[in-house]
Amino acid sequence: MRLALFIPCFVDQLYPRVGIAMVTVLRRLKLDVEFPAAQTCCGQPAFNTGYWDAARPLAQRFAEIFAGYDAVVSPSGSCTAMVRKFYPDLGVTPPPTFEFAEFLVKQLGVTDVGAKFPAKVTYHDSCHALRELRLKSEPRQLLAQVRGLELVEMDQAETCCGFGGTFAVKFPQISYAMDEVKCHSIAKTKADYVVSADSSCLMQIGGYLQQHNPGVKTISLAEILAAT
Amino acid sequence: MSASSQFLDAARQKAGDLRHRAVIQKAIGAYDAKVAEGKARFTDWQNARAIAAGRKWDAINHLDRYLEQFERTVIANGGQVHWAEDSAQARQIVLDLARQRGVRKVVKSKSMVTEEIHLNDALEGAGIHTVETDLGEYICQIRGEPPYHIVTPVMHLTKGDIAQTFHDKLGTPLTDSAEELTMIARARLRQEFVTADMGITGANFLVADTGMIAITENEGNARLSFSLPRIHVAITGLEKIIPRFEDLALLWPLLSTSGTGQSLTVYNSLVSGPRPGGEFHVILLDNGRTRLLADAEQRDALHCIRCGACLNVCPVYKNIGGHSYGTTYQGPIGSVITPHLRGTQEWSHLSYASSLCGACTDVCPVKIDLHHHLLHNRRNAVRQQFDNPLQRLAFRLWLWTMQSPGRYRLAGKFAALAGHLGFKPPRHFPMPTGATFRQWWAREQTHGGPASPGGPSVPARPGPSTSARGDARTTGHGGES
Amino acid sequence: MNPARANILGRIRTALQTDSAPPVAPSASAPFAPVTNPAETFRAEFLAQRGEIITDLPAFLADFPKVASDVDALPGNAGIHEADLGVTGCECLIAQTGTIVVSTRAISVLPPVHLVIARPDQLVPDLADAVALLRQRDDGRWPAALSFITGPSRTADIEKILVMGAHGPKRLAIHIG
Repeated sequence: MRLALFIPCFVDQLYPRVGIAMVTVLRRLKLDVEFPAAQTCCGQPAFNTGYWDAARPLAQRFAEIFAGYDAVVSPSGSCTAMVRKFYPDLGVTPPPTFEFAEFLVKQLGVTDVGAKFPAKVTYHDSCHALRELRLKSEPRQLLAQVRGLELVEMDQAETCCGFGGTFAVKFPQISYAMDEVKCHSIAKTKADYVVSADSSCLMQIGGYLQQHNPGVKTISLAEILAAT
Repeated sequence: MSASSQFLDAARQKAGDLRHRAVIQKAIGAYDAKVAEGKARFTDWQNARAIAAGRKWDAINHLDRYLEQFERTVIANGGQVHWAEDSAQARQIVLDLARQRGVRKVVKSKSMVTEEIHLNDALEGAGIHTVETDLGEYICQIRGEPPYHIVTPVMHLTKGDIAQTFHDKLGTPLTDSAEELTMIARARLRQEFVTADMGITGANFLVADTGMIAITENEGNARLSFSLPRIHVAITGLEKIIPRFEDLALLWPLLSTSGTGQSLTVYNSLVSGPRPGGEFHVILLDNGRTRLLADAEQRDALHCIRCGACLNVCPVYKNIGGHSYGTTYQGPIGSVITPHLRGTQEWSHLSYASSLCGACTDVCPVKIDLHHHLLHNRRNAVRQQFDNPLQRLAFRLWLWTMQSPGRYRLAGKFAALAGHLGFKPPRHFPMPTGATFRQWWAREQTHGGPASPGGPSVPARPGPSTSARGDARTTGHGGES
Repeated sequence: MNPARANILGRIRTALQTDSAPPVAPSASAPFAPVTNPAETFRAEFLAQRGEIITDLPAFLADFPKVASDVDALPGNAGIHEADLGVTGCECLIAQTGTIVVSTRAISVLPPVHLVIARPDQLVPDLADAVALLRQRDDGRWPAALSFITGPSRTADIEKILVMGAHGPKRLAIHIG
């Protein structure tokens, strides 16, 4: 199958390691991947702020760049949701696009990717992955196969971390309060790591942890799956 | 001060108020536990929601037909129906009726619509003594505050706060007992029920085919309000209509389960006429609801049964509280409908005060597409040019940048430069370092082997001394930058 | 003639000229499991809601000197404002939720204790059945007020602490004879 990588702009710029980890895992599964270098951004920041006319050209561009692939895989629940669930609102038919965990479990039928990560981790359900893409068990099925990994659930796993893109910029105090509630829930699990399918959430959560609870680290699902 | 600046101030203050946060978390924690029990009584909760959504869709999309049927049946049963286009007309209908009947005292049961039209002020202004009889609303009235939550009006107050309020305003001794406080209110309000000339209630549902209003409550104050005074006036939004009496068999348990977790609320009453020797009036209020109806994309917001579930699940609401919204309807439903009811320009900010997490849409018993409507409101605000012109310009510039990989890469380099020069983003967020995924990919393609930019090589290993993640700036293991 | 009605209906009709998509149709799956043992279920639910089941009626009544009643077999001696106890019949009993349906107003909500005199044949399994029964019996001549009562009056407005007898009766009792 012709598989393309969709690496969101902030993963490309801020967390390249997440994209690299995803490629590592896909290659371990003997999949050939391509990275169309013309890609830039899916358009979500403009779309979410109400600027649908600014998002539409980027959606059209995305559809053109990724035309012809059997699947497009991305290490981001929110960007995948933008493409799959919201591009139709812009009048653009999306290419078949999948979040990474979703691709592994639902498209390839794979839950064991040969990973080893002996640590206690807790999983944060990013909102778009959970509610737009309906992913809940898939990341957990993957984590269950990681050797040495102990998964503990936090009581507020499904509660929003408070990032929400421009929301964190426009309403920083509310964003901070939500972050604090999330981090308290994480702390109660006594996990060493909090893991998620969305790096934007991990950035938000990491910001609070770094300042208040540096013993707990953030890590993307892709990086855990790439670890051996 | 604009509604938007007031909101920002209030939200900022409340978000940092840890006492408030603790009180609300405790209350909603109790609610969550009860609701989980309540949902377990359904064999198929998701399908129950789907059935209810279908019934309300039928009601709202044939609203004229059902309202006319309701009016006919109420009149046939001996009641009167009044139509009010806006708050002023609704208030006037009540005032005229009160004046014509020589009403000196009114008892009220809980009704968000009466809050919406500011009825109490109008009645008091006309010299009519108006008493809230729902315990939570009574406390709000004594404190001179609006209700904090559409179902639990004083969720934000502790026992101590309420005891202090009663002590200050009613002269009662301070007590630590919720029971004693409730009995204080019960004794005082009993007198009011018995001597009132008019009882004003809301309505949870309007049953079109039998001409009944349905009132749901736990306390019994609504029953007393429509049973004892001579005149019963029910003021209601016109969207409360349901097609058939039989629809109540599902809507009542859905409302009670989502509202409080109860299998059924203690009193579900159906009033179809006056008490012997009395009068029964129903006032149907528009006040912007027909504007929402005309927006076919968001029309389902009129399905709302005012259960409060979306408020209780919303992480924004839980941190800023009901008063911060500065308008009658709070939480996600309030943020969705208020621009339609009160103006897009002044009230779109509520639609932006959301991370679009979607928890509200998941819990709504009638499946309103709440969080997507927040997006729609944002789009509408931009289309009508109510946005900040600087923001509009910023996104034009942003679009221009993103339409070219070259410009995008350049922007990334500028940001990396700013970071190296010491520019610090808020909240410990990282800055780009200049080492990007596409650089790694390009190098790997040309050199034919994996290389890692500025950090320990993937795969990561867990352990206390390894920052398996960290922000890209602090790892600094050499490599390209 | 007040133009408000015409204006509102006019706006509604204009608004509805644009269709909105109906929601996804539900399946045939019923929301609730059928009630298999109504008498048992009513008893359990009614008690869970803090209702009281009275077997020894004379002993119960002995506690209430002033009684208001609309049940012929149990005449009262007081008006609703003075009564310690209000006695009524009922329209039906609902097993699923332990609910009593009455068609009375003040007498079943003003006195501090409410006693319902019911017959076993008034019991129906669930809410849908109750609604069907009332439709069949009362359609076209509905009582002006019906109340579906599930337990005594209560409030949790103060810190979610449950307090009984907020405004309506603090105690709800039933004698099924």
